[in-house]
Amino acid sequence: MSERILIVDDEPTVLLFCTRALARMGYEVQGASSGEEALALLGTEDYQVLVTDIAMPGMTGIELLSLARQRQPDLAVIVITGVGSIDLAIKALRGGAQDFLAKPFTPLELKSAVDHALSEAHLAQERARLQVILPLFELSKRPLEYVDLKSLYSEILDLATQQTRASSAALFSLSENGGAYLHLEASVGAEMDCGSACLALIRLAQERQEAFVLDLATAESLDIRFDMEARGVTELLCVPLQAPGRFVGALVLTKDAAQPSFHADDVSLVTILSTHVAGLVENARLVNKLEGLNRDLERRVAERTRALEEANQRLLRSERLATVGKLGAGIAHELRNPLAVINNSAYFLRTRLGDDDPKIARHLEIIEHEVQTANKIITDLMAFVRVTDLERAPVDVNALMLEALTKVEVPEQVHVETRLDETLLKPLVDADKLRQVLINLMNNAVQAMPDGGQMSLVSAQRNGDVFISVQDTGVGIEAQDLERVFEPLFTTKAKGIGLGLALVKLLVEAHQGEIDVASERGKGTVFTVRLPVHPVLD
Amino acid sequence: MNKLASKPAALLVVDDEEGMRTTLADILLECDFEVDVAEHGREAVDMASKKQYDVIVMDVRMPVMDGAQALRLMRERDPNIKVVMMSANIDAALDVRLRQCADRVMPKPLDMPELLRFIRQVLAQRMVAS
Repeated sequence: MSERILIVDDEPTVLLFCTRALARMGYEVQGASSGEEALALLGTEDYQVLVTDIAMPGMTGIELLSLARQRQPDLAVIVITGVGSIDLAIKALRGGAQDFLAKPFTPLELKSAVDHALSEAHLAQERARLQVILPLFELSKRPLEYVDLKSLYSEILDLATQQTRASSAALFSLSENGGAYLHLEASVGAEMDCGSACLALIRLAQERQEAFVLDLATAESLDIRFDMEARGVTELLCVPLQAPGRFVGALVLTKDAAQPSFHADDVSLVTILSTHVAGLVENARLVNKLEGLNRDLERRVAERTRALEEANQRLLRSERLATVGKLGAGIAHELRNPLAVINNSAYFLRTRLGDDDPKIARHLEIIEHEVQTANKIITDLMAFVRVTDLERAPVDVNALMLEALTKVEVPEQVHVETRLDETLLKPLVDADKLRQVLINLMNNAVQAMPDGGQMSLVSAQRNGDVFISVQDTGVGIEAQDLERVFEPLFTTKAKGIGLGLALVKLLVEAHQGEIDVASERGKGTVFTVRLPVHPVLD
Repeated sequence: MNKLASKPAALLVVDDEEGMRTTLADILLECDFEVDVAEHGREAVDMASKKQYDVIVMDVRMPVMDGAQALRLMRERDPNIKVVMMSANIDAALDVRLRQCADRVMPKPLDMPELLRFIRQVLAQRMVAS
């Protein structure tokens, strides 16, 4: 880039001398004969160095220095002073001039001063760029997952407004998902919204694919121009945010009448910023998406884990019971043989002695009855072994309930009531096992009513499930015992070893069903079995 | 009835447990049947080949030769032989073939009136046939 120098002196000879000398040395030089003229030139063209006489009619060099700096802070300034006006030179240096030349000076002195000022200006520029890039570098080092994006965006916008002396800045993201969704990610300075003017601006950025500056004269879109006027915006700088293969939004900086126009350096600075921001916005989008996927995955993993754990628990429980059952059944089987012998002996003795002595007959009956009771326990225990071997077929549950009732010894003082749904669907169940469930529940109900009462057998259906209830008006179960009634070997009864309900639960669960119990002390108990009509079979 | 009384029915009780053999035999003797006993399947098969029994009451699980095997061998020799199988473990696991092969399968402890009813029924049918 060729260095452009603006020389201001009201003395034409000095002006001519300087312009010629510098032009010969390869610089691009422009002369101006007054501060006013120079200021006008600075407004339209880019200059790197301003060489100005201090003492001029009208605008002095000091005044020009100050105004020019406002417009272009990185402009290198050299002042020319007359003999004996060293105080003015000091004033100029304090006002921000890089160097001064005392008249008379040689072309070489001029060149040396210009070169010096230029290198200082370069250094200052480098410093300024570093100042921008360092915070950016710091920002980019932060792990994205810990970054609060909103505040990061704000930091970047702060940086952009400071460096370009803009009055406001905003970051918009655009997501296209069946339609265009413009989102204001962050803003500093004046409020911005996602109105139609904004969308038009973002579309323009998407179209142009590079940074552009619009002022009231160059804004072609009426929407945009009216919006600028309404907000008192004189100029705006819009930079598209381009992620690899995707337009993600735009950075917009605005200026009002009080601020100097955007400079080419501003554009390149914001362009640098924009690549970083585009990466951030895109990353944020991806992180969001990833988080969404993660959450979804986590939720599904959690659900699946819970289901598996439940299934595992169920399996463990039934396996443990099956193991206990197997062991028990083995022992039970061995017990049946001696029981059979005892039974035979009792029978034999009864045929020999029973008719003679009623007391002996009574005792032999007791032996036989107890043998039956012991045998019943063995049968219950052995039922645990083959719980999961189901021979499923559609079963008329109502008929099965009535059949089970015939296998239960119902004392006279217990009244049985049935409320059966005649339209009941036939669930796919193992009839033998379900009969066992029903018999056990009915036996339980009867035993809960030693002083009589009512046993209600109810069938119903709801949502593809069959519901069977066995209700009694008996003694009820204490609340603290209620959740334990299905545990094997737990019993509140004087008789029984606590296998009946455990087996019931195991059998119901083997059918992919559920069993519930509700009870009130002194009022009675109701067991409800839910069976799916169409179970999901493995 | 007189004919039956003059020629008592011959029964064979097969069980590896002495208590079972003794009690069952005593009950059947009390009913005026002629009763022999065997300790396992092999012995029972031998005895059945030498003597015609009206009914054989046999345990399933025994050493040397189990009841199922003995039943098969007896049936080969005499398809019409009447056999009641006893088992302490009657459930779905019991060999289906055994159920088809035996004339009756009864769980232990035995329902004695039921067993006696069956024996008398067999004897009555045999009498009618002859």
